[in-house]
Amino acid sequence: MKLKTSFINQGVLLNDFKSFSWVGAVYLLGLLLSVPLKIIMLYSNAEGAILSQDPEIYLRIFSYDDFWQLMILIIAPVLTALLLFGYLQNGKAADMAHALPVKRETLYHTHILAGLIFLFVPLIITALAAWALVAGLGIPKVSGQDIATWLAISLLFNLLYFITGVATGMFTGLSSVQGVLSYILLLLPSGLSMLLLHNMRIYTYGFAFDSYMQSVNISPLAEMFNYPIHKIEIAAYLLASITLYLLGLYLYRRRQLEAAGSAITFDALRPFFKYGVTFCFMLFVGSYFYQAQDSLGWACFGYLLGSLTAYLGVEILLQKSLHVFKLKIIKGFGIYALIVIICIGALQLDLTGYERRLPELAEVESVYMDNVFYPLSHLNMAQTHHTVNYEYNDMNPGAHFETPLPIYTRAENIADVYALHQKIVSNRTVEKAVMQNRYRYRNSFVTGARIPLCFIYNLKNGSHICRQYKVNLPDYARQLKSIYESREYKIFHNAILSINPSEIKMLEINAIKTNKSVRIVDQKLIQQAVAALQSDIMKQTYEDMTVNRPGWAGINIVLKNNDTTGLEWEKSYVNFEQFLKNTGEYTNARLIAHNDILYAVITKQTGEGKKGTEAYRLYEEEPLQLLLKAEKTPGHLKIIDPEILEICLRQYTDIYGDSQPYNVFFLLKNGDIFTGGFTEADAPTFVKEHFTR
Amino acid sequence: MIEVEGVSKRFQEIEALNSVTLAVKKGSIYGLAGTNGAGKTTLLKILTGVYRQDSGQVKYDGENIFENNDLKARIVFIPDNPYFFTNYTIDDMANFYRRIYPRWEQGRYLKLREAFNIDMKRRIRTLSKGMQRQVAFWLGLSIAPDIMMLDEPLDGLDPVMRQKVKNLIIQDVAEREMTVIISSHNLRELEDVCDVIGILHQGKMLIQKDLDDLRADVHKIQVAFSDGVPESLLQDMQTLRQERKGNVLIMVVRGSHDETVRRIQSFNPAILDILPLTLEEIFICEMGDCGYEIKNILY
Repeated sequence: MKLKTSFINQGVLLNDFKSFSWVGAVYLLGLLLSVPLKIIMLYSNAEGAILSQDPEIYLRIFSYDDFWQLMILIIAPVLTALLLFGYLQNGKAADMAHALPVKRETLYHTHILAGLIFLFVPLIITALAAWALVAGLGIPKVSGQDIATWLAISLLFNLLYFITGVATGMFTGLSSVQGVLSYILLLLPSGLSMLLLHNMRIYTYGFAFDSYMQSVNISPLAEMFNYPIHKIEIAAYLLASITLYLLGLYLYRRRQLEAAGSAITFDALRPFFKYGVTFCFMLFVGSYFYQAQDSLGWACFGYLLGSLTAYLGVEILLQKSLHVFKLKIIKGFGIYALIVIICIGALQLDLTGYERRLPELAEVESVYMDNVFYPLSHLNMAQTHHTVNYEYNDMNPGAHFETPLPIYTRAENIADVYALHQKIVSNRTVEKAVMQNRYRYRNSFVTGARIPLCFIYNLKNGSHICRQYKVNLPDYARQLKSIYESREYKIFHNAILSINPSEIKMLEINAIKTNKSVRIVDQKLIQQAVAALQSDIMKQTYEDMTVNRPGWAGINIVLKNNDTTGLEWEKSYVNFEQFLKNTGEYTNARLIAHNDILYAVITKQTGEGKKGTEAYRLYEEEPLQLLLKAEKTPGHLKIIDPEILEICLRQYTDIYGDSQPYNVFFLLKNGDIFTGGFTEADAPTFVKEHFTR
Repeated sequence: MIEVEGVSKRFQEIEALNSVTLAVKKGSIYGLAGTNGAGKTTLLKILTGVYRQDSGQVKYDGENIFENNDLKARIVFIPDNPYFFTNYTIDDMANFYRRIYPRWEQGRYLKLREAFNIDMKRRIRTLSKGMQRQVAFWLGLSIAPDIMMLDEPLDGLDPVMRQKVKNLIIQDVAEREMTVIISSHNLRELEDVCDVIGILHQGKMLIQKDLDDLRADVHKIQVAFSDGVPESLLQDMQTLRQERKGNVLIMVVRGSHDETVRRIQSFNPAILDILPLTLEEIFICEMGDCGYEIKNILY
């Protein structure tokens, strides 16, 4: 009964069936429960009309949206590899299998064939069952192609996971290590990049972490969730499978059977394993402590803890003995630590010049500046390169609320952004110290002043320079002013500047702090309103944009296609104010001192008590209690005159608490109370006069 | 038939075999003796193509064993602790071997049941250690191998079964010219079945002797002289060991039987006895011999 070809051995194959068919059976059961049964469950829910059904819900079953389905698809292949090649990790079984007149190559191919049958047949049966159900029940939205795609992707990933498990088994001698290492290998491409990025940003000021993170989703294990998958990924995974298959075969041929039971079966791989695990664990624990404690010192503690634990742990695993405190072993760690310290020192001293590097201004074609890189995530870098002219004449008002990507192309704006960036770079020594010891500066975060800034320079030679910072905006007011007041900035940040007024169905103005509201549906009025808003926005100064004064009302714009967006009627919008006055709706669109406010009470901060506590009282106490307390404060200022109230309304900021020298309470006629404050600069003169007396 | 030359094998820091050389003739039974950890199992695993030697050669009629299917199909290796698949009955295991070994003889397998008398439907892992070993013999013999490698095969068998297995092996050797290599830490166990004995110690082959030659060559002699042992008696005689008790001399001597007796008789001893010599005694003497020789070179 000997098969002529030695590619597979029939006896071994039949034996695999006899011993491990249950894996395939359990896999099939799991898949049937998580795919066809799920369809039946959703279908019977629809029958009982329990939920008004979105037909897309069926499609989700085939988009890897289900946790259990994913778990089964991920666990089964590696488990199959562990079982089929388990004989290699058991000395007795390995001796028996290799005393047989069957070559290693044949064993390898036969077990792989068995594994693929155990994995593929259940997938195919499940797909057929799902297809039959979908066709039989007449479920809409799910096409045969959806199911076929699901099947193809599942087969591909099962193949890759299985082969990874097999290849891993060739260089480890313990099934447990084989299982863990298989998943680590599958995660390694993005896992290691992420760890490196996380740690690089500790030492590198301006490190464009978020931008780089977008490009490291390259792990097959993580990618399965990112459905749908690209053709290039399919090719890459197939290629990876073939490579791993060949690698496994190569290693099997060279494997020493007596290595069963040791963690790593090839002497040459041991240092890689040892220092690789040490390095990864060091980065992992280090970035954990950095994130939790916001301090470089803690990160270094994490490095020591992580690397030492991992180093000794791996040594114990490799030696299978707890006696690892030997001079030779400690020396190995010492050399490793020295190299790490040199690398960290090099990063810290910015030997590569990353922190200082700025392109030549003349080389810059356009520059992206925003708080996040996210809008670019669906584009590749090359696409951010194109130049768009945002001149008024060329503007093509759209039927959707779409602001263009914040890519500055006008020379003066590029120069302004560049100047801002230069200033940030020149502050790097101080800023880096703040970044590495953030816990000391936590208070400056309470106000939310430190915000992220992201830059991408698109250079004329086609390359890009990305940087990311967290800065305290007021420090850069001089540089930001010209950017914020530029046309491009305003177009990038105000959807209303890019909308065609004739596409608007309705404007709804909802006054804040009251329930007054105005609706404008007349096309002519809409045109006027939009024109007024556009000119107000264009005239707005940096100071107007950054002041903490709440607006008069929220404006809700509804398009004819029912898209909506919102903006605020800010106090600096004088044209819009005039427009409302012209239409006679002014008093209905905002809080009017004369109509709506009973009185206001202003108190001065005494500067006593712990800083920051007053602001928290708002969360703990009823505003009425605070108001009553304020009214009992000796020397408080009570305002009833509507004209003076109007001044207060125009000037107050929405920050209440001891960061403001004056606090204000407004009591509305409807009984509501709202609070705010005045800065020393904003406070009306009568307030200052009252409190200096 | 089997030629092993200069085979060495290291397990990380431990040197398991150091340049081992041996030769086994077709149809003979080779006994591999040595203490625990001497390298016997490692040598057998290399001989069966399970392990690969670091250096040296293992040839079967000129062919390498490693990854050689045709050769391995003719060899059965029974380790000291045989492995069987989980939940497999004897029949299941037999079916597996039948598919793998082209030389499997089903008739022989069925016939051997009488000798072993174990239920073929029993799950092997539920059997006792000794019975599992019997199953391994049973299955191994059913393959009708040309070469059989047995690692500590008789350990854990009861005396009846021990004799039965020995008989089966000897029968196959006699009928089919099967070649056998048996390892044991007990020299006495090898004494009555083996043709050749090799002694492995700390990874080295100390000595390799044909038992018949050994028996014919080494003699334990007790002599007594009425007026003291003559000084010139031991001259020109290869004494491996000697012990003097007054006028009585007990010695182990190498040399042909007749000549040795003739030489001693020429000194007119009062008594001359040739005493029985166990294999163990011979080897202890032989190894002492080696040791002394090395000492002589050193001094």
